[in-house]
Amino acid sequence: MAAIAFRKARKTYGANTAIHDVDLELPEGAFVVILGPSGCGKSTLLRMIAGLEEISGGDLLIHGTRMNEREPKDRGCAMVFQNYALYPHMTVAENIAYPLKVAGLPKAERQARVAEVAAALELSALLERRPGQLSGGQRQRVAMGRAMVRRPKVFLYDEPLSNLDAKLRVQMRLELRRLHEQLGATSVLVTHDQQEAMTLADHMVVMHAGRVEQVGSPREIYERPATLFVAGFIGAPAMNLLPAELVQGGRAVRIAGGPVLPLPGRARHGSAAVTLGIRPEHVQPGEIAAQVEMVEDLGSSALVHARLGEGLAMAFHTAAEAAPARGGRAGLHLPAERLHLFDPVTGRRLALERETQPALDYAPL
Amino acid sequence: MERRATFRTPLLPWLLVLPQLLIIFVFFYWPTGEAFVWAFTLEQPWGGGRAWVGWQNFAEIFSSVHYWHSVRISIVYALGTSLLAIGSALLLALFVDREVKGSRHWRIALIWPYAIAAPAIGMIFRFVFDPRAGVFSMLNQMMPGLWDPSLNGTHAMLMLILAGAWQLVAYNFVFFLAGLQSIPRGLTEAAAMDGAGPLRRMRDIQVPLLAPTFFFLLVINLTDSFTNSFGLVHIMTDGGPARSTDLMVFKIYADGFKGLDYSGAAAQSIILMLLVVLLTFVQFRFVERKMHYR
Repeated sequence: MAAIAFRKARKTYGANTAIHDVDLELPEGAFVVILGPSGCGKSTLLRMIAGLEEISGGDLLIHGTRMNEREPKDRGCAMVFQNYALYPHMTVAENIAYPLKVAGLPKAERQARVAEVAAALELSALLERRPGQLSGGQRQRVAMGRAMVRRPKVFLYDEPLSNLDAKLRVQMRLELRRLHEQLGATSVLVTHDQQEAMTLADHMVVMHAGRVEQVGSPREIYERPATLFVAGFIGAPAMNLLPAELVQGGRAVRIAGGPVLPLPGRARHGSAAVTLGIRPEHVQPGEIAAQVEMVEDLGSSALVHARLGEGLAMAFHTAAEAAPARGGRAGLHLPAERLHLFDPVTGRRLALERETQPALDYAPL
Repeated sequence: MERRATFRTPLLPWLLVLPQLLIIFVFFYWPTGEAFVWAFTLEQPWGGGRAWVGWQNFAEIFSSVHYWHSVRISIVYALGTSLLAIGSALLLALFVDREVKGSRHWRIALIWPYAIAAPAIGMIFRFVFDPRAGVFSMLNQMMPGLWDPSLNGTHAMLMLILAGAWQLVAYNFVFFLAGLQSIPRGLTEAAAMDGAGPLRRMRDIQVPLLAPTFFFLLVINLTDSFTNSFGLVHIMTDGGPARSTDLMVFKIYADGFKGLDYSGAAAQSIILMLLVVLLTFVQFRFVERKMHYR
């Protein structure tokens, strides 16, 4: 059973629609990351799960029960906020114990639970401090502790790492993942940072303009982006997207005014115009001529910005030592297995029919 | 950051502040200085000569039963007014902050009373509380003699406190609302996630975080109750019945301008001024510094 499910869930603010009929199932025990650019509705979706935003239409199910009208406290979710939202007038211990205090647990049990959580998060020495006396990373852990202490079935994280510096962020990322394994609950994290998403997620949801673009494992999404938006959003530097047309009955593709590339299968599409995508890291040295415009030395490798015949921009990675000179020429090879095809109008990925029986090619018409 | 203006002539800055200085001097320092002199002399009611009497005026005040009575009821009035005004303002601000239906309009309506002059308020409340013709006369209809501020000192004081509090509520409301709105939304949301209902959130999160505002308003309200109550007393009770509303600030006026004891009144006003200075000191020293989180 899915831990959390949306059925045609919608959120509107007056005439504006923030979330358009989302259908989504988040598997139990998974680390789910909702990824998208700012303003795509990802935080709204999370707050709908939490009960902090009303759901305008459709259903929200948590562990199979409809939760639309339930109070936040009755949904069995705990949340870690972007700015941690620690109570400034309470000590660390009081902050962590607050959910238990509200729930009416006796003091001795509260203290035991707080001590347990504090030990797990290495906060034991800080229990008497106020949030104002803590560093960013410590505050983050207190917020985690306050969420953990209730032993919820679902953890919600609203961009929890975005206020930390780069080094601490990597460290806390590992810690989040470790805690997730330990607690065995379902975690839902919202972020705009794709690296964070790729490293944390078992299950990734990419959102754009209030819609879910694609759902899948990070690898699936990286290897087979379902839409042009996902193709351009996932991966750094971004995928090269070039206008192209299908030729040879969909068995090959021609880059506008440039070379013809064979496809590993047959693309069926109403019109010949397509968008061809290839990731910079998949471009190899080869036969297609390109004019080098700029070279970014990244240390371990170099990122080359070049232009193909008709002036189409193309970025690619090479080994740092093998990088061509600025203004020079380079030869590129675009491996057939690494090409992505999209419908330029709808933005959807075009599937290739695998022609497992080459004999078909010779079949009589 | 350096924020200093430079002037070509040293005279210009003085000329610029002169109007302000002049006003403060004429209406504050000069009368205050004069009051100091009067407090240590015996001033003749119709002018023409004064005699130095040292601390005698003060000694007389401090040995007066009436004066100590006035101090006591002034404290009762100040505390009663302040607490009532703070309590009601907090409640109103909490309602408005929760975006109760129509709160947008209430917000403006609730600020207006502060703009009404004390005598006007006094006049209105005199009618409201009038035992024979006012809204409260209903009480007397039900049980004759139940309500009469013109005969019963406690009733008179209660009436003053209600009117005084009503006047201060608007001021306090603005501060509480601003305070509530500066509490990050995330905190109340976090408390909601932690299982606290609206009332519990008010008690555990919002009200404690308003502590700095609370203490600030307490000091301001106390000061205001000591000094600005004159208008209300003058219109509503005239210090009576039987000195039951003879607040310090009203007694200064009554002793000075009715009893023509200028020196005694001057000494009393010096004492009141010191009291206000003390409260202001407390405000700056303790409240402003200590009551901040983070």
